[in-house]
Amino acid sequence: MKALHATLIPAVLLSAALLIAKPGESAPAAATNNVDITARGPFEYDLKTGRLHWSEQVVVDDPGSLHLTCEDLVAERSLTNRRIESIVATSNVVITLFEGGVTSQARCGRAVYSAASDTFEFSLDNPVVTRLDSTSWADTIVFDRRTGKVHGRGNPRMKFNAGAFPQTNPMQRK
Amino acid sequence: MPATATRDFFIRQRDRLGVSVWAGLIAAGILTAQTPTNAPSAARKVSFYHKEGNRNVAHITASEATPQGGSLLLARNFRMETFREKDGSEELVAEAPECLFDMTTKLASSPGPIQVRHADGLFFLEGRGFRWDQESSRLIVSNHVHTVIQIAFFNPRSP
Repeated sequence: MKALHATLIPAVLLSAALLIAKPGESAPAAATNNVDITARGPFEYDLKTGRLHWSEQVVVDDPGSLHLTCEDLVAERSLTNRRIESIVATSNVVITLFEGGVTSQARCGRAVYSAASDTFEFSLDNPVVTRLDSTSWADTIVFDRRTGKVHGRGNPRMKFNAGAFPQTNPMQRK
Repeated sequence: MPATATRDFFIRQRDRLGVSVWAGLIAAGILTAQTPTNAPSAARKVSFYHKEGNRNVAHITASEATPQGGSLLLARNFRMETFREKDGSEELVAEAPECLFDMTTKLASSPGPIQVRHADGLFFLEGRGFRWDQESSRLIVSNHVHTVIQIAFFNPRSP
Protein backbone atom coordinates (compact mmCIF):
# COMPACT_ATOMS: atom_id res chain seq x y z
CA MET A 1 0.00 0.00 0.00
CA LYS A 2 2.82 2.32 0.93
CA ALA A 3 4.62 1.49 -2.31
CA LEU A 4 1.43 2.13 -4.28
CA HIS A 5 1.02 5.52 -2.66
CA ALA A 6 4.64 6.31 -3.34
CA THR A 7 4.05 5.70 -7.04
CA LEU A 8 0.51 6.94 -7.40
CA ILE A 9 0.73 10.26 -5.60
CA PRO A 10 3.67 11.65 -7.59
CA ALA A 11 2.02 10.32 -10.75
CA VAL A 12 -1.20 12.18 -9.99
CA LEU A 13 0.76 15.29 -9.07
CA LEU A 14 2.70 14.97 -12.28
CA SER A 15 -0.51 14.73 -14.31
CA ALA A 16 -2.10 17.64 -12.52
CA ALA A 17 0.93 19.86 -12.79
CA LEU A 18 1.31 19.23 -16.49
CA LEU A 19 -2.36 19.99 -17.04
CA ILE A 20 -2.15 23.33 -15.29
CA ALA A 21 1.20 24.22 -16.79
CA LYS A 22 1.54 27.72 -18.14
CA PRO A 23 1.98 28.31 -21.84
CA GLY A 24 5.52 28.04 -23.09
CA GLU A 25 7.41 31.08 -24.24
CA SER A 26 8.57 29.89 -27.64
CA ALA A 27 6.04 30.49 -30.38
CA PRO A 28 5.57 27.54 -32.73
CA ALA A 29 5.61 27.97 -36.49
CA ALA A 30 2.32 28.06 -38.35
CA ALA A 31 0.78 24.65 -39.01
CA THR A 32 0.98 23.11 -42.46
CA ASN A 33 -0.42 19.98 -44.08
CA ASN A 34 2.99 18.36 -44.36
CA VAL A 35 5.56 16.82 -42.06
CA ASP A 36 9.18 17.30 -43.08
CA ILE A 37 11.68 14.57 -42.26
CA THR A 38 15.34 15.01 -43.05
CA ALA A 39 18.12 12.56 -42.33
CA ARG A 40 21.76 12.18 -43.13
CA GLY A 41 20.88 8.70 -44.28
CA PRO A 42 20.49 5.98 -45.14
CA PHE A 43 16.75 5.77 -45.56
CA GLU A 44 15.06 2.48 -46.30
CA TYR A 45 11.53 1.82 -47.52
CA ASP A 46 10.09 -1.65 -47.74
CA LEU A 47 6.97 -1.52 -49.88
CA LYS A 48 5.91 -5.04 -48.94
CA THR A 49 5.79 -4.37 -45.21
CA GLY A 50 5.13 -0.61 -45.32
CA ARG A 51 8.15 0.10 -43.10
CA LEU A 52 10.00 3.41 -43.48
CA HIS A 53 13.33 3.78 -41.71
CA TRP A 54 15.44 6.94 -41.43
CA SER A 55 18.92 6.88 -39.91
CA GLU A 56 21.45 9.39 -38.58
CA GLN A 57 20.71 12.95 -37.56
CA VAL A 58 17.00 12.60 -38.12
CA VAL A 59 14.93 15.77 -37.83
CA VAL A 60 11.13 15.71 -37.94
CA ASP A 61 9.37 19.02 -38.31
CA ASP A 62 5.60 19.27 -38.08
CA PRO A 63 5.23 23.06 -37.96
CA GLY A 64 2.98 24.26 -35.16
CA SER A 65 2.75 20.81 -33.61
CA LEU A 66 6.03 18.96 -33.17
CA HIS A 67 9.77 19.14 -33.63
CA LEU A 68 11.81 15.99 -33.07
CA THR A 69 15.45 15.03 -33.36
CA CYS A 70 16.89 11.54 -32.96
CA GLU A 71 19.37 9.14 -34.52
CA ASP A 72 16.91 6.54 -35.75
CA LEU A 73 13.28 6.73 -36.78
CA VAL A 74 10.98 3.94 -37.92
CA ALA A 75 7.43 4.46 -39.18
CA GLU A 76 5.13 1.51 -39.75
CA ARG A 77 2.44 1.92 -42.32
CA SER A 78 -0.81 -0.03 -42.36
CA LEU A 79 -1.14 -2.09 -45.50
CA THR A 80 -4.93 -1.94 -45.27
CA ASN A 81 -5.80 1.73 -44.69
CA ARG A 82 -2.36 3.01 -45.79
CA ARG A 83 -2.06 5.27 -42.74
CA ILE A 84 1.02 5.47 -40.56
CA GLU A 85 0.20 3.42 -37.46
CA SER A 86 3.26 3.92 -35.31
CA ILE A 87 6.51 5.82 -35.18
CA VAL A 88 9.47 4.81 -33.05
CA ALA A 89 12.30 7.28 -32.46
CA THR A 90 15.43 6.02 -30.73
CA SER A 91 18.75 7.33 -29.48
CA ASN A 92 19.14 10.91 -28.20
CA VAL A 93 15.48 11.69 -28.72
CA VAL A 94 14.42 15.29 -28.13
CA ILE A 95 10.79 16.17 -28.83
CA THR A 96 9.28 19.61 -28.54
CA LEU A 97 5.50 19.51 -28.56
CA PHE A 98 3.24 22.49 -29.12
CA GLU A 99 -0.19 21.68 -27.73
CA GLY A 100 -2.87 24.33 -27.35
CA GLY A 101 -0.40 27.12 -26.72
CA VAL A 102 1.59 24.97 -24.29
CA THR A 103 5.14 24.06 -25.16
CA SER A 104 6.71 21.01 -23.58
CA GLN A 105 9.90 19.15 -24.26
CA ALA A 106 10.72 15.50 -23.74
CA ARG A 107 14.15 13.88 -23.74
CA CYS A 108 14.57 10.14 -23.74
CA GLY A 109 16.22 7.16 -25.39
CA ARG A 110 13.09 5.89 -27.05
CA ALA A 111 9.82 7.57 -27.99
CA VAL A 112 6.88 5.65 -29.43
CA TYR A 113 3.96 7.39 -31.09
CA SER A 114 0.74 5.44 -31.63
CA ALA A 115 -1.64 6.95 -34.16
CA ALA A 116 -4.59 4.86 -32.95
CA SER A 117 -4.44 6.25 -29.42
CA ASP A 118 -2.66 9.51 -30.35
CA THR A 119 -0.19 8.99 -27.51
CA PHE A 120 3.55 9.32 -27.02
CA GLU A 121 5.42 6.98 -24.73
CA PHE A 122 8.85 8.14 -23.60
CA SER A 123 11.24 5.59 -22.11
CA LEU A 124 14.93 4.64 -21.74
CA ASP A 125 17.86 6.85 -20.75
CA ASN A 126 16.01 8.60 -17.90
CA PRO A 127 13.07 10.16 -19.71
CA VAL A 128 12.36 13.72 -18.69
CA VAL A 129 9.55 16.09 -19.60
CA THR A 130 10.16 19.79 -19.12
CA ARG A 131 7.45 22.43 -18.99
CA LEU A 132 7.71 26.11 -18.26
CA ASP A 133 6.95 25.57 -14.57
CA SER A 134 8.05 22.00 -13.90
CA THR A 135 10.31 19.10 -14.75
CA SER A 136 9.15 15.50 -14.46
CA TRP A 137 10.96 12.18 -14.49
CA ALA A 138 9.77 8.57 -14.57
CA ASP A 139 10.86 5.25 -16.02
CA THR A 140 8.12 5.66 -18.61
CA ILE A 141 6.14 8.81 -19.32
CA VAL A 142 2.99 8.60 -21.42
CA PHE A 143 1.55 11.71 -23.02
CA ASP A 144 -2.01 11.55 -24.35
CA ARG A 145 -2.39 14.24 -27.00
CA ARG A 146 -6.18 14.00 -27.04
CA THR A 147 -6.66 14.72 -23.35
CA GLY A 148 -3.40 16.55 -22.72
CA LYS A 149 -2.75 14.25 -19.74
CA VAL A 150 0.68 12.97 -18.82
CA HIS A 151 1.26 9.87 -16.72
CA GLY A 152 4.51 8.76 -15.18
CA ARG A 153 5.06 5.04 -14.57
CA GLY A 154 7.87 3.76 -12.36
CA ASN A 155 9.86 6.05 -10.06
CA PRO A 156 7.95 9.21 -10.92
CA ARG A 157 9.26 12.44 -9.46
CA MET A 158 8.78 16.07 -10.13
CA LYS A 159 10.33 19.43 -9.52
CA PHE A 160 8.35 22.64 -9.65
CA ASN A 161 10.15 25.74 -10.74
CA ALA A 162 10.04 28.90 -8.68
CA GLY A 163 6.84 30.77 -9.41
CA ALA A 164 4.85 27.69 -10.30
CA PHE A 165 2.42 28.36 -7.48
CA PRO A 166 0.60 31.58 -6.53
CA GLN A 167 2.58 33.97 -4.32
CA THR A 168 0.39 33.40 -1.28
CA ASN A 169 0.95 31.54 1.95
CA PRO A 170 -1.48 28.60 1.98
CA MET A 171 -1.16 28.38 5.78
CA GLN A 172 -2.24 31.98 6.30
CA ARG A 173 -5.84 32.44 7.47
CA LYS A 174 -7.96 34.85 5.54
CA MET B 1 -23.22 -32.70 -96.86
CA PRO B 2 -22.72 -31.65 -100.51
CA ALA B 3 -19.13 -31.30 -101.73
CA THR B 4 -19.40 -27.47 -102.14
CA ALA B 5 -20.71 -27.01 -98.64
CA THR B 6 -17.96 -29.23 -97.25
CA ARG B 7 -15.31 -27.21 -99.11
CA ASP B 8 -16.82 -23.91 -97.85
CA PHE B 9 -16.85 -25.29 -94.31
CA PHE B 10 -13.13 -26.14 -94.47
CA ILE B 11 -12.29 -22.76 -96.00
CA ARG B 12 -14.13 -20.98 -93.16
CA GLN B 13 -12.36 -23.15 -90.57
CA ARG B 14 -9.00 -22.44 -92.24
CA ASP B 15 -9.67 -18.68 -92.23
CA ARG B 16 -10.82 -18.81 -88.62
CA LEU B 17 -7.73 -20.80 -87.64
CA GLY B 18 -5.56 -18.36 -89.56
CA VAL B 19 -7.01 -15.41 -87.65
CA SER B 20 -6.44 -17.20 -84.34
CA VAL B 21 -2.85 -18.07 -85.23
CA TRP B 22 -2.10 -14.49 -86.24
CA ALA B 23 -3.77 -13.13 -83.09
CA GLY B 24 -1.73 -15.54 -81.01
CA LEU B 25 1.50 -14.58 -82.75
CA ILE B 26 0.80 -10.84 -82.30
CA ALA B 27 -0.03 -11.34 -78.62
CA ALA B 28 3.13 -13.37 -78.12
CA GLY B 29 5.12 -10.68 -79.89
CA ILE B 30 3.73 -7.97 -77.60
CA LEU B 31 4.48 -10.02 -74.49
CA THR B 32 7.99 -10.70 -75.68
CA ALA B 33 8.54 -7.02 -76.41
CA GLN B 34 7.38 -6.08 -72.90
CA THR B 35 9.64 -8.58 -71.18
CA PRO B 36 13.23 -7.76 -72.04
CA THR B 37 15.41 -10.72 -72.74
CA ASN B 38 18.46 -9.07 -74.26
CA ALA B 39 20.10 -5.76 -73.54
CA PRO B 40 20.10 -3.33 -76.45
CA SER B 41 23.31 -3.33 -78.41
CA ALA B 42 23.61 0.48 -78.61
CA ALA B 43 22.33 3.53 -76.75
CA ARG B 44 18.66 3.94 -77.37
CA LYS B 45 15.42 4.93 -75.74
CA VAL B 46 13.92 2.12 -73.70
CA SER B 47 10.50 1.42 -72.30
CA PHE B 48 9.49 -1.93 -70.94
CA TYR B 49 7.39 -3.67 -68.36
CA HIS B 50 8.76 -5.96 -65.72
CA LYS B 51 6.22 -8.72 -65.30
CA GLU B 52 5.51 -11.49 -62.86
CA GLY B 53 3.27 -13.90 -64.70
CA ASN B 54 0.64 -11.74 -66.34
CA ARG B 55 0.93 -8.95 -63.78
CA ASN B 56 2.80 -5.73 -64.47
CA VAL B 57 5.20 -5.15 -61.59
CA ALA B 58 7.00 -2.09 -62.93
CA HIS B 59 7.25 0.11 -65.99
CA ILE B 60 10.77 1.30 -66.65
CA THR B 61 11.73 4.00 -69.13
CA ALA B 62 14.94 5.81 -69.99
CA SER B 63 15.63 8.43 -72.63
CA GLU B 64 18.89 6.65 -73.36
CA ALA B 65 20.22 3.28 -72.27
CA THR B 66 23.78 2.21 -73.01
CA PRO B 67 24.92 -1.39 -72.53
CA GLN B 68 27.66 -1.73 -69.94
CA GLY B 69 28.42 -5.39 -70.40
CA GLY B 70 26.47 -8.37 -69.19
CA SER B 71 22.94 -7.40 -68.26
CA LEU B 72 23.87 -3.90 -67.10
CA LEU B 73 22.51 -0.75 -68.70
CA LEU B 74 23.51 2.82 -68.03
CA ALA B 75 20.17 4.58 -68.11
CA ARG B 76 19.74 8.32 -68.52
CA ASN B 77 16.57 10.07 -67.38
CA PHE B 78 15.57 6.87 -65.66
CA ARG B 79 11.94 6.59 -64.59
CA MET B 80 10.32 3.68 -62.87
CA GLU B 81 6.71 3.18 -61.94
CA THR B 82 5.73 0.29 -59.72
CA PHE B 83 2.24 -1.16 -59.50
CA ARG B 84 0.30 -2.54 -56.57
CA GLU B 85 -0.08 -6.28 -56.40
CA LYS B 86 -3.64 -5.91 -55.13
CA ASP B 87 -5.26 -3.88 -57.92
CA GLY B 88 -2.48 -3.00 -60.38
CA SER B 89 -2.74 0.71 -59.64
CA GLU B 90 0.34 2.93 -59.66
CA GLU B 91 2.27 2.75 -56.39
CA LEU B 92 5.63 4.49 -56.58
CA VAL B 93 7.35 6.68 -59.16
CA ALA B 94 11.13 7.02 -58.95
CA GLU B 95 13.15 9.32 -61.21
CA ALA B 96 16.89 9.69 -61.50
CA PRO B 97 18.98 11.59 -64.06
CA GLU B 98 21.24 8.58 -64.37
CA CYS B 99 21.53 5.08 -62.97
CA LEU B 100 22.76 1.59 -63.61
CA PHE B 101 20.03 -0.94 -64.21
CA ASP B 102 20.56 -4.67 -64.17
CA MET B 103 18.11 -6.34 -66.52
CA THR B 104 18.59 -9.73 -64.86
CA THR B 105 18.46 -8.89 -61.17
CA LYS B 106 16.14 -5.85 -61.66
CA LEU B 107 18.42 -3.76 -59.48
CA ALA B 108 18.73 -0.03 -60.13
CA SER B 109 21.45 1.96 -58.40
CA SER B 110 23.27 5.25 -58.62
CA PRO B 111 25.47 7.53 -56.50
CA GLY B 112 23.53 10.46 -57.91
CA PRO B 113 20.26 12.15 -57.02
CA ILE B 114 16.86 10.49 -56.92
CA GLN B 115 13.31 11.71 -56.47
CA VAL B 116 10.56 9.38 -55.35
CA ARG B 117 6.85 10.09 -55.24
CA HIS B 118 4.28 7.82 -53.69
CA ALA B 119 1.29 7.66 -56.00
CA ASP B 120 -1.24 7.87 -53.18
CA GLY B 121 0.41 11.03 -51.91
CA LEU B 122 1.97 9.49 -48.79
CA PHE B 123 5.31 11.10 -49.40
CA PHE B 124 7.69 12.84 -51.71
CA LEU B 125 11.34 12.04 -51.18
CA GLU B 126 14.63 13.21 -52.56
CA GLY B 127 18.18 12.23 -51.74
CA ARG B 128 21.53 11.21 -53.15
CA GLY B 129 22.70 7.70 -53.86
CA PHE B 130 20.13 4.94 -54.11
CA ARG B 131 19.52 1.30 -54.70
CA TRP B 132 16.17 -0.10 -55.78
CA ASP B 133 15.62 -3.83 -55.56
CA GLN B 134 12.59 -4.71 -57.61
CA GLU B 135 12.51 -8.33 -56.43
CA SER B 136 12.22 -7.42 -52.75
CA SER B 137 10.41 -4.09 -53.37
CA ARG B 138 12.97 -2.28 -51.25
CA LEU B 139 14.35 1.22 -51.77
CA ILE B 140 17.46 2.49 -50.02
CA VAL B 141 18.50 6.14 -50.29
CA SER B 142 21.99 6.65 -48.92
CA ASN B 143 22.48 10.34 -48.20
CA HIS B 144 20.83 13.69 -47.57
CA VAL B 145 17.32 12.29 -47.37
CA HIS B 146 14.51 14.81 -47.40
CA THR B 147 11.01 13.43 -47.03
CA VAL B 148 7.74 15.33 -47.08
CA ILE B 149 4.83 13.33 -45.67
CA GLN B 150 1.21 14.44 -45.84
CA ILE B 151 -0.15 14.99 -42.34
CA ALA B 152 -3.35 13.10 -43.28
CA PHE B 153 -1.38 9.86 -43.25
CA PHE B 154 -0.72 10.23 -39.54
CA ASN B 155 -4.39 10.47 -38.72
CA PRO B 156 -6.25 7.16 -38.73
CA ARG B 157 -9.56 8.98 -38.84
CA SER B 158 -8.89 11.05 -41.96
CA PRO B 159 -10.29 9.84 -45.29
